[in-house]
Amino acid sequence: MKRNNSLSEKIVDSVFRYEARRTRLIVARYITGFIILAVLIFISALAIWNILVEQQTFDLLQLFEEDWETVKDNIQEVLDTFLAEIPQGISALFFFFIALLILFFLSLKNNYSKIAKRLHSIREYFTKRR
Amino acid sequence: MLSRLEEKKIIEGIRAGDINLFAVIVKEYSQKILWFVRQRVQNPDDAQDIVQNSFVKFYKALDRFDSQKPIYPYLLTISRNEISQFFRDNPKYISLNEELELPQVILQENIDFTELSIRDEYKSILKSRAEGYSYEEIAEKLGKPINTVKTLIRRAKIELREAYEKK
Repeated sequence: MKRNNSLSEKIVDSVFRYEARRTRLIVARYITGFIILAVLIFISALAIWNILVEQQTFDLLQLFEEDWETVKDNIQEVLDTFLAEIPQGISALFFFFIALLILFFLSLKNNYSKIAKRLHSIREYFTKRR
Repeated sequence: MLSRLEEKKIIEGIRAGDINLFAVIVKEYSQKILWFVRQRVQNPDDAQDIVQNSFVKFYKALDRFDSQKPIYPYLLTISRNEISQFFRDNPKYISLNEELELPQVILQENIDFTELSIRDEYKSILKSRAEGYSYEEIAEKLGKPINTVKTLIRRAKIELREAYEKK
Protein backbone atom coordinates (compact mmCIF):
# COMPACT_ATOMS: atom_id res chain seq x y z
CA MET A 1 0.00 0.00 0.00
CA LYS A 2 2.84 2.33 0.93
CA ARG A 3 4.50 1.68 -2.43
CA ASN A 4 1.23 2.23 -4.26
CA ASN A 5 0.66 5.52 -2.40
CA SER A 6 4.11 6.66 -3.41
CA LEU A 7 3.41 5.58 -7.03
CA SER A 8 0.14 7.57 -6.97
CA GLU A 9 2.00 10.56 -5.58
CA LYS A 10 4.68 10.25 -8.28
CA ILE A 11 2.03 10.13 -11.00
CA VAL A 12 0.10 13.11 -9.64
CA ASP A 13 3.36 15.03 -9.24
CA SER A 14 4.33 14.32 -12.88
CA VAL A 15 0.92 15.50 -14.06
CA PHE A 16 1.07 18.70 -12.04
CA ARG A 17 4.58 19.47 -13.29
CA TYR A 18 3.48 18.89 -16.86
CA GLU A 19 0.40 21.07 -16.38
CA ALA A 20 2.44 23.83 -14.69
CA ARG A 21 4.76 23.91 -17.74
CA ARG A 22 1.87 23.88 -20.17
CA THR A 23 -0.13 26.58 -18.39
CA ARG A 24 2.98 28.80 -18.08
CA LEU A 25 3.42 28.48 -21.84
CA ILE A 26 -0.24 29.33 -22.51
CA VAL A 27 -0.12 32.41 -20.27
CA ALA A 28 3.16 33.50 -21.88
CA ARG A 29 1.55 33.12 -25.33
CA TYR A 30 -1.41 35.28 -24.32
CA ILE A 31 0.83 37.99 -22.88
CA THR A 32 3.17 37.92 -25.89
CA GLY A 33 0.23 37.91 -28.30
CA PHE A 34 -1.35 40.90 -26.58
CA ILE A 35 1.89 42.88 -26.56
CA ILE A 36 2.57 42.15 -30.24
CA LEU A 37 -0.97 43.12 -31.26
CA ALA A 38 -0.88 46.29 -29.15
CA VAL A 39 2.43 47.30 -30.73
CA LEU A 40 1.14 46.58 -34.27
CA ILE A 41 -2.04 48.56 -33.67
CA PHE A 42 -0.06 51.45 -32.23
CA ILE A 43 2.41 51.46 -35.13
CA SER A 44 -0.30 51.35 -37.80
CA ALA A 45 -2.36 54.05 -36.03
CA LEU A 46 0.73 56.22 -35.75
CA ALA A 47 1.55 55.69 -39.45
CA ILE A 48 -2.00 56.70 -40.46
CA TRP A 49 -1.83 59.74 -38.18
CA ASN A 50 1.54 60.89 -39.60
CA ILE A 51 0.33 60.53 -43.21
CA LEU A 52 -2.84 62.51 -42.47
CA VAL A 53 -0.81 65.23 -40.75
CA GLU A 54 1.62 65.40 -43.68
CA GLN A 55 -1.29 65.65 -46.16
CA GLN A 56 -2.89 68.30 -43.91
CA THR A 57 -6.07 66.23 -44.04
CA PHE A 58 -7.01 67.36 -40.56
CA ASP A 59 -7.47 70.88 -41.97
CA LEU A 60 -10.75 69.54 -43.35
CA LEU A 61 -12.03 69.43 -39.79
CA GLN A 62 -11.95 73.23 -39.73
CA LEU A 63 -15.39 72.94 -41.32
CA PHE A 64 -16.77 72.37 -37.85
CA GLU A 65 -15.68 75.87 -36.86
CA GLU A 66 -18.26 77.22 -39.32
CA ASP A 67 -21.96 77.73 -38.70
CA TRP A 68 -24.36 74.84 -38.68
CA GLU A 69 -25.78 75.52 -42.15
CA THR A 70 -22.34 75.48 -43.76
CA VAL A 71 -21.47 72.29 -41.96
CA LYS A 72 -24.71 70.67 -43.11
CA ASP A 73 -24.11 71.68 -46.73
CA ASN A 74 -20.49 70.51 -46.86
CA ILE A 75 -20.27 67.60 -44.43
CA GLN A 76 -20.73 64.92 -47.08
CA GLU A 77 -18.05 66.37 -49.32
CA VAL A 78 -15.64 66.75 -46.42
CA LEU A 79 -16.25 63.18 -45.28
CA ASP A 80 -15.73 61.83 -48.81
CA THR A 81 -12.48 63.76 -49.09
CA PHE A 82 -11.35 62.63 -45.65
CA LEU A 83 -12.02 58.98 -46.49
CA ALA A 84 -10.30 59.31 -49.85
CA GLU A 85 -7.19 60.73 -48.18
CA ILE A 86 -6.92 58.01 -45.56
CA PRO A 87 -4.15 55.59 -46.64
CA GLN A 88 -6.01 52.45 -47.76
CA GLY A 89 -3.36 49.80 -47.23
CA ILE A 90 -2.33 50.83 -43.74
CA SER A 91 -5.96 51.36 -42.70
CA ALA A 92 -6.81 47.84 -43.84
CA LEU A 93 -3.93 46.55 -41.73
CA PHE A 94 -5.06 48.65 -38.79
CA PHE A 95 -8.58 47.21 -38.88
CA PHE A 96 -7.20 43.71 -39.42
CA PHE A 97 -5.14 44.06 -36.22
CA ILE A 98 -8.21 45.39 -34.40
CA ALA A 99 -10.15 42.33 -35.58
CA LEU A 100 -7.33 40.09 -34.31
CA LEU A 101 -7.43 41.89 -30.98
CA ILE A 102 -11.18 41.25 -30.73
CA LEU A 103 -10.63 37.56 -31.49
CA PHE A 104 -7.84 37.52 -28.94
CA PHE A 105 -10.13 38.89 -26.22
CA LEU A 106 -12.87 36.46 -27.19
CA SER A 107 -10.42 33.57 -26.87
CA LEU A 108 -9.24 34.88 -23.53
CA LYS A 109 -12.84 35.24 -22.32
CA ASN A 110 -13.61 31.62 -23.31
CA ASN A 111 -10.47 30.22 -21.66
CA TYR A 112 -10.05 32.55 -18.72
CA SER A 113 -12.01 30.49 -16.23
CA LYS A 114 -10.20 27.25 -17.23
CA ILE A 115 -6.75 28.87 -17.01
CA ALA A 116 -7.58 30.55 -13.70
CA LYS A 117 -8.76 27.22 -12.21
CA ARG A 118 -5.65 25.44 -13.45
CA LEU A 119 -3.40 28.10 -11.96
CA HIS A 120 -5.29 27.85 -8.69
CA SER A 121 -4.96 24.02 -8.62
CA ILE A 122 -1.27 24.21 -9.46
CA ARG A 123 -0.57 26.86 -6.83
CA GLU A 124 -2.53 24.92 -4.21
CA TYR A 125 -0.70 21.67 -5.01
CA PHE A 126 2.82 23.11 -4.90
CA THR A 127 2.05 25.15 -1.77
CA LYS A 128 0.80 22.01 0.03
CA ARG A 129 3.92 20.09 -1.03
CA ARG A 130 6.11 22.63 0.71
CA MET B 1 -15.34 1.59 -8.18
CA LEU B 2 -16.19 4.75 -10.12
CA SER B 3 -19.43 4.71 -12.09
CA ARG B 4 -19.53 5.94 -15.72
CA LEU B 5 -21.35 9.06 -14.62
CA GLU B 6 -18.76 9.80 -11.95
CA GLU B 7 -15.94 9.27 -14.45
CA LYS B 8 -17.64 11.59 -16.91
CA LYS B 9 -18.02 14.31 -14.25
CA ILE B 10 -14.39 13.91 -13.23
CA ILE B 11 -13.19 14.23 -16.84
CA GLU B 12 -15.34 17.31 -17.35
CA GLY B 13 -14.04 18.81 -14.12
CA ILE B 14 -10.44 18.23 -15.18
CA ARG B 15 -11.12 19.77 -18.59
CA ALA B 16 -12.64 22.80 -16.83
CA GLY B 17 -9.33 23.28 -15.00
CA ASP B 18 -9.66 21.36 -11.71
CA ILE B 19 -6.54 19.22 -12.04
CA ASN B 20 -6.89 17.86 -8.49
CA LEU B 21 -9.64 15.57 -9.78
CA PHE B 22 -7.05 13.59 -11.72
CA ALA B 23 -5.80 12.23 -8.40
CA VAL B 24 -9.14 10.43 -8.07
CA ILE B 25 -8.51 8.56 -11.33
CA VAL B 26 -4.94 7.79 -10.27
CA LYS B 27 -6.10 6.46 -6.91
CA GLU B 28 -8.79 4.35 -8.55
CA TYR B 29 -6.75 2.74 -11.33
CA SER B 30 -3.02 2.95 -10.57
CA GLN B 31 -2.92 -0.34 -8.67
CA LYS B 32 -4.87 -2.19 -11.37
CA ILE B 33 -2.63 -0.86 -14.11
CA LEU B 34 0.46 -1.66 -12.05
CA TRP B 35 -0.75 -5.22 -11.61
CA PHE B 36 -1.34 -5.49 -15.37
CA VAL B 37 2.12 -4.12 -16.18
CA ARG B 38 3.86 -6.31 -13.57
CA GLN B 39 2.52 -9.41 -15.36
CA ARG B 40 4.68 -8.41 -18.30
CA VAL B 41 7.54 -6.38 -16.91
CA GLN B 42 9.29 -7.97 -13.99
CA ASN B 43 11.49 -5.14 -12.77
CA PRO B 44 9.35 -3.15 -10.30
CA ASP B 45 11.04 0.18 -11.08
CA ASP B 46 10.52 -0.25 -14.82
CA ALA B 47 6.91 -1.26 -14.18
CA GLN B 48 6.32 1.85 -12.08
CA ASP B 49 7.86 4.06 -14.77
CA ILE B 50 5.59 2.51 -17.38
CA VAL B 51 2.53 3.07 -15.19
CA GLN B 52 3.58 6.67 -14.54
CA ASN B 53 4.13 7.34 -18.25
CA SER B 54 0.77 5.74 -19.06
CA PHE B 55 -1.13 8.03 -16.70
CA VAL B 56 0.71 11.12 -17.93
CA LYS B 57 -0.09 10.15 -21.53
CA PHE B 58 -3.71 9.65 -20.57
CA TYR B 59 -3.78 13.10 -18.97
CA LYS B 60 -2.28 14.67 -22.10
CA ALA B 61 -4.94 12.94 -24.22
CA LEU B 62 -7.86 13.99 -22.01
CA ASP B 63 -9.08 16.72 -24.37
CA ARG B 64 -9.51 14.11 -27.12
CA PHE B 65 -10.86 11.37 -24.84
CA ASP B 66 -14.54 10.50 -25.33
CA SER B 67 -15.94 10.93 -21.82
CA GLN B 68 -18.88 8.67 -22.73
CA LYS B 69 -16.47 5.72 -22.75
CA PRO B 70 -14.97 4.05 -19.66
CA ILE B 71 -11.47 5.07 -18.59
CA TYR B 72 -10.00 1.71 -17.59
CA PRO B 73 -9.86 0.05 -21.05
CA TYR B 74 -8.31 3.20 -22.47
CA LEU B 75 -5.65 3.17 -19.74
CA LEU B 76 -4.98 -0.50 -20.47
CA THR B 77 -4.44 0.27 -24.16
CA ILE B 78 -1.99 3.06 -23.33
CA SER B 79 -0.15 0.73 -20.91
CA ARG B 80 0.07 -1.99 -23.53
CA ASN B 81 1.63 0.49 -25.95
CA GLU B 82 4.03 1.69 -23.27
CA ILE B 83 5.07 -1.89 -22.54
CA SER B 84 5.71 -2.53 -26.25
CA GLN B 85 7.74 0.64 -26.44
CA PHE B 86 9.69 -0.40 -23.35
CA PHE B 87 10.66 -3.71 -24.91
CA ARG B 88 11.60 -1.98 -28.17
CA ASP B 89 13.85 0.38 -26.24
CA ASN B 90 15.25 -2.48 -24.17
CA PRO B 91 15.53 -5.37 -26.63
CA LYS B 92 17.63 -7.53 -24.32
CA TYR B 93 14.82 -7.87 -21.84
CA ILE B 94 11.85 -10.11 -22.22
CA SER B 95 8.91 -10.81 -20.01
CA LEU B 96 8.94 -14.47 -19.21
CA ASN B 97 5.64 -14.48 -17.41
CA GLU B 98 3.60 -15.17 -20.52
CA GLU B 99 1.54 -18.34 -20.55
CA LEU B 100 4.28 -20.10 -18.64
CA GLU B 101 4.70 -20.76 -14.94
CA LEU B 102 8.26 -20.01 -13.95
CA PRO B 103 10.27 -20.21 -10.76
CA GLN B 104 10.06 -17.05 -8.67
CA VAL B 105 13.78 -16.27 -9.13
CA ILE B 106 13.32 -15.80 -12.90
CA LEU B 107 10.16 -13.72 -12.48
CA GLN B 108 12.08 -11.25 -10.39
CA GLU B 109 14.68 -10.56 -13.06
CA ASN B 110 14.70 -9.40 -16.64
CA ILE B 111 17.01 -11.77 -18.45
CA ASP B 112 19.58 -10.92 -21.11
CA PHE B 113 18.87 -14.05 -23.14
CA THR B 114 21.37 -13.21 -25.90
CA GLU B 115 24.14 -14.34 -23.57
CA LEU B 116 22.59 -17.72 -22.83
CA SER B 117 23.23 -20.86 -24.88
CA ILE B 118 19.96 -21.49 -26.64
CA ARG B 119 19.23 -22.18 -30.29
CA ASP B 120 19.64 -19.23 -32.69
CA GLU B 121 16.13 -19.82 -34.01
CA TYR B 122 14.80 -19.44 -30.47
CA LYS B 123 16.95 -16.36 -29.82
CA SER B 124 15.60 -14.74 -32.95
CA ILE B 125 12.00 -15.45 -32.07
CA LEU B 126 12.45 -14.29 -28.46
CA LYS B 127 14.12 -11.10 -29.72
CA SER B 128 11.10 -10.38 -31.93
CA ARG B 129 8.80 -10.93 -28.98
CA ALA B 130 10.98 -8.72 -26.77
CA GLU B 131 10.77 -5.96 -29.37
CA GLY B 132 7.02 -5.97 -28.97
CA TYR B 133 5.96 -7.81 -32.13
CA SER B 134 2.65 -9.62 -31.74
CA TYR B 135 2.24 -13.34 -32.45
CA GLU B 136 0.51 -12.45 -35.72
CA GLU B 137 3.38 -10.21 -36.81
CA ILE B 138 5.99 -12.86 -35.95
CA ALA B 139 3.95 -15.51 -37.79
CA GLU B 140 3.81 -13.29 -40.86
CA LYS B 141 7.53 -12.53 -40.64
CA LEU B 142 8.49 -16.22 -40.39
CA GLY B 143 5.82 -17.41 -42.78
CA LYS B 144 4.49 -19.88 -40.22
CA PRO B 145 1.03 -20.44 -38.72
CA ILE B 146 0.31 -18.55 -35.51
CA ASN B 147 -0.09 -21.70 -33.40
CA THR B 148 3.34 -22.86 -34.55
CA VAL B 149 4.78 -19.52 -33.44
CA LYS B 150 3.13 -19.84 -30.03
CA THR B 151 4.57 -23.35 -29.67
CA LEU B 152 8.02 -22.15 -30.71
CA ILE B 153 7.92 -19.32 -28.18
CA ARG B 154 6.82 -21.70 -25.48
CA ARG B 155 9.66 -24.10 -26.32
CA ALA B 156 12.11 -21.19 -26.52
CA LYS B 157 11.16 -20.10 -23.03
CA ILE B 158 11.55 -23.62 -21.68
CA GLU B 159 15.02 -23.84 -23.21
CA LEU B 160 15.76 -20.36 -21.91
CA ARG B 161 14.73 -21.35 -18.41
CA GLU B 162 16.92 -24.47 -18.55
CA ALA B 163 19.88 -22.48 -19.88
CA TYR B 164 19.38 -19.88 -17.16
CA GLU B 165 19.21 -22.53 -14.44
CA LYS B 166 22.40 -24.18 -15.76
CA LYS B 167 24.15 -20.84 -15.65
